[in-house]
Amino acid sequence: MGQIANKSVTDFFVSGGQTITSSRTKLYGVQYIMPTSYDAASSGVPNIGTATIDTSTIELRDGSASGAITFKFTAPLSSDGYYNGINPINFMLGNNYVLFESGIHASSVGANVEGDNAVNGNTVTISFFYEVG
Amino acid sequence: MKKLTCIYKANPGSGASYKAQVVDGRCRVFVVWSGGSTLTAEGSTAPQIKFYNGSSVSGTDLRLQLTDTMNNAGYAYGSHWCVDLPSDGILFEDGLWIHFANLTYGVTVLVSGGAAS
Repeated sequence: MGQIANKSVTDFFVSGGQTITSSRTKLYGVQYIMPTSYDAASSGVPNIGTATIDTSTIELRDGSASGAITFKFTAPLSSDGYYNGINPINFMLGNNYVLFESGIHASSVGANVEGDNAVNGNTVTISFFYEVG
Repeated sequence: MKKLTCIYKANPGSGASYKAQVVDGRCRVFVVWSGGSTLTAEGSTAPQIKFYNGSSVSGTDLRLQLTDTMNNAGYAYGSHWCVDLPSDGILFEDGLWIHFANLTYGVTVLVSGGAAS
């Protein structure tokens, strides 16, 4: 294993997603957070809303927004909007890796998954641990 | 070091009690990620996600079982967690089936092997 790089990027609700690396990359892990919003105006509970699996799923594609889905995982979700709060979590693969032949592109997760009165909804942050080459 | 393949599967919402084939053929599972929502009655058994060795939905060879959060009735609880398995992974000689704990689940597994590799 060579030198491990780390890059943290935010906001995957925007169209087009984000490019993390642009050449052959071994992904060793990610750390991830989707923060809750807080609906102080009404119920006073953290509120993420009526998300579905498809709209709260992060897709890491090979090379570009049209590349093969090489890594995919689902964000926390709730069927009726009540939530206990979300902590960061991580995928660490030990000495193993997932290979992206043409680099890592993190796709948009599509619709805003926050529910009513979302305050800080559009912030998903992912820290990537990887090696280029 | 092993090159792993990421496989994602959402609960198909049909079939035999939420079971779905995830890998066809011999494989080892190294990492499991679960994201989903559960709705359980207070005091009931916590939701279980079960991983079976086999090539058909009727398989009963349970190799891995993980527990999700339980909660009070009436309030769905969204959870996400990740399990790094022991360094040699968990072996499934005949393929991998997942029995989901509830309808709104998406599970990611990182594996080596499988018929497609």
